Amino acid sequence: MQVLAAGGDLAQLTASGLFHGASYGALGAGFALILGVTTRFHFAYSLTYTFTAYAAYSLTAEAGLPFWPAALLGVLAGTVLGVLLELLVYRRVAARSGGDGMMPVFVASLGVGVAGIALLQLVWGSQSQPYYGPSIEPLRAFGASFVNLDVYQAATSVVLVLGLAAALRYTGLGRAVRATRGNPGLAAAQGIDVRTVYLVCFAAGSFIAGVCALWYGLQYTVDPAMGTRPGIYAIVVAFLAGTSASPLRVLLVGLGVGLAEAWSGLWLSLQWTQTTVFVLLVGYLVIRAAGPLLPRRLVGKGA
Amino acid sequence: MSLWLFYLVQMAVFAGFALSLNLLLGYAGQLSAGHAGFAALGGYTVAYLATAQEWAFLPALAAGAAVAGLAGLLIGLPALRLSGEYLILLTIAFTLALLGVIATFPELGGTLGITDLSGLAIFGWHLDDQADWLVVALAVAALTFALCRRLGESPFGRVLRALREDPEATRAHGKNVYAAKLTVFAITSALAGLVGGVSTASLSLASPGLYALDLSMTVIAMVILGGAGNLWGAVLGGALLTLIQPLLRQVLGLDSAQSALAQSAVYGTLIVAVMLLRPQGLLPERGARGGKAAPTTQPPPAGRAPAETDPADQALRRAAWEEAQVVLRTSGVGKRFRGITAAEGLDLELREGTITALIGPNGAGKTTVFNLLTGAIAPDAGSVELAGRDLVGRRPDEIAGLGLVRTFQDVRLPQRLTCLENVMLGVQEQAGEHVTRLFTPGSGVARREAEVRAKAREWLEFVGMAEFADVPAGALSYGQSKLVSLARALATEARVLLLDEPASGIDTAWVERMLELIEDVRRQGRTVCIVEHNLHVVSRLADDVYFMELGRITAHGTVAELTASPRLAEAYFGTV
Repeated sequence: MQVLAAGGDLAQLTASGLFHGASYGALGAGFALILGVTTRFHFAYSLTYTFTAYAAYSLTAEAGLPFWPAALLGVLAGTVLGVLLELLVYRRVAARSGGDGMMPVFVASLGVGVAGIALLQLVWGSQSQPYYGPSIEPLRAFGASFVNLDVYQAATSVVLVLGLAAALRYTGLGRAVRATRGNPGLAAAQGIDVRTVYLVCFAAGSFIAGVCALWYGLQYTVDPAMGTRPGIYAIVVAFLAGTSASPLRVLLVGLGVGLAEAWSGLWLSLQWTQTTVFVLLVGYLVIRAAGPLLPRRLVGKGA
Repeated sequence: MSLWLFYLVQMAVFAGFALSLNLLLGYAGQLSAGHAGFAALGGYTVAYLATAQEWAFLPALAAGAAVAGLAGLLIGLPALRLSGEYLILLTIAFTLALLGVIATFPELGGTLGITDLSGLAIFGWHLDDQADWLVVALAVAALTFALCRRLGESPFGRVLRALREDPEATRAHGKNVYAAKLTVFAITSALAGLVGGVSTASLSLASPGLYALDLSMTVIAMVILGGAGNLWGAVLGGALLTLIQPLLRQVLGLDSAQSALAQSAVYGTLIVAVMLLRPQGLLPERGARGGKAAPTTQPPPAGRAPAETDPADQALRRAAWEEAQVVLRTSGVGKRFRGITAAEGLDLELREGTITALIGPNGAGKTTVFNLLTGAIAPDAGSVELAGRDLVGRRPDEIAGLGLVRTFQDVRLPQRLTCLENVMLGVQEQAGEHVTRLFTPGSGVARREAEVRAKAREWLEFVGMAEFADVPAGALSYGQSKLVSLARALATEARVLLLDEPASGIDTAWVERMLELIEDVRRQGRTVCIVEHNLHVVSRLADDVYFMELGRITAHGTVAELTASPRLAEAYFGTV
């Protein structure tokens, strides 16, 4: 964000857009994996994000662990939290509500998110915490200035997305995930344990969110509101790309959103660039709503 | 004392927020996270107009509600055409964008907000202290309650409760689902703006922090805790959750920052606990409290002895069929889905006062024909004419209004509506489904509602389900629900009825009853088209039969003619 405020030229904004966009893309891919496969509208995605950063921060700053083991344990803790939410909350709420339970699960997820962020603040306080890891070095390329962490962050995001895409494509578990996304009933009939697949999706999505959160914490600070914007962007990017889209497509959409947001800084003041994602979303919805495509479920079955 | 007065004002304010969201979420089943945004629009409009423009309070309040309502309309236009998650998403994005933008206007006080809002009055009554604001907030909460009650407990509200559970079936019975959702969303957005205006004025402050997304979450928590679909539940939820903060401060001695956090933790935990343990909330929706138990699971006694198919009778009926006028005609209707042909070159005729059957193997496209005729799917080619009027390109609810109504193979009765309400949903031209008429004295809403009720009772009696009038549809057996769905279709008074497997999946005793009813419907001069697998049913009912394979009509004639075809006998009938 400080990059954006500092420079007005295209190269700088493009670099900033790509760095942010890579993280939006990775977060979007994680969210889309969860929503697309499990149909859980996991609004508390931003909670697992924030929780990971706090866990890693406190293991370093408070428990005195070295950075890398603490970071790893933090990401694992966030992953476990994501899995527990599915296991203890969403699965039960969906089972109680019958149907796909989209709305009840979303409401429960909202509750988890609100309560979780408040609890984080009661434990660690509301103020921002400085989080230190690899030393920060300024870099300059193509007329834009940035720091080494920007590059690490973007590279990690791309690697995570590529890894997810490869896992979905080439591993047996990945094929089970895709089969479940296509038709859970059929997947179950073929002997796939759908409930385990759901847990795997929550684990993978939460892992990606956690890694992104660590970079964010290192670049800025660890604070209770840090997950709000990334969480919303993840959701928007996932919807723009299509929740059953491949991770690579989600990454491209994330990069596009990052660039659109950064470039809007050429014409708009900083606060107004926040509206970019809203404008993109409205534009997308208008096109979808006006489109002649009817939801597939209107098509009758049986005959 | 003044602190408790302050909390009483807050209780009234949050009751207002929760009531308006409950109409949207509880009745219409649409979840919005935009209450904070709409409240901000109302609050900022009031604060700006009352300070910079020196407007009087009431006109400023009305303007605040209008601005919020307009914003709701604009957001709803794209979002409500799509599935529920898009409304959630767009309202979240709207609230965040709005709060970001508001802070950039110096006229609106930037991040501090408008802080000099004071000296408000209503017709010379100066609203100086919290006691005055309590009166205003209670009045607005009462007004909101009255409005939501009028809307929710009206024929319009019945449409909302039906579309909450099954938008497609609601549309198929002549209700414009999109318009109803848009209307209720705009109204509840305006109400959020109204209550937001009062909240802002009572605090003498409009700031971005007041309307953070947390406000939306709080209101959602209130509705869920109190009971979605129950207006008193919203009042209870609003009051209880508002009281949590003072309790935390007074009883646990937490400071204001800690108590705000503890409050959020309690809200969030309560939402999760309610969703897990008592999803219906503290005060469940009327009618969802189990309702009346179903009186009996036995089929109603048949009116007369089961009639066997009499060949002479069939010949007479075929002669009548030859004479009858064509009511519905399709020519060359086709539909492809991503290269797969679902229907092609369909030429169908339905004749007045006769029964036509559509038969064929599974996957032949029979239900697709119903979807194409009723506008659920738009054909790529061909025309559909009902009594000379072209139906292609019209919405399903328009087509139902023109007199072509279908039932569904999987019945699709909104489970939480009673049988009577389900059938009332079928009756067309209800004054009370128009919001403007609900608030126009002398527009005959009550009189028409009594007529609709009486008519629906008659149709329930016709299918032999009168004693189930007050039973929620969810408590019915499959056979019973098929009868109620037939009554609902009949109540539309449509000239042409498309019945999708009316006799499948039900006990033999029910089949007999169903067949008699369909014969009665023909006797009334209505035109019926059935999709059916059971050849016994087809040969007893049908005056004319179309045979479909792979999306095409491959044979047409009487049952006797079709069953005599060696090819069809081998391909289809032989397996029945």
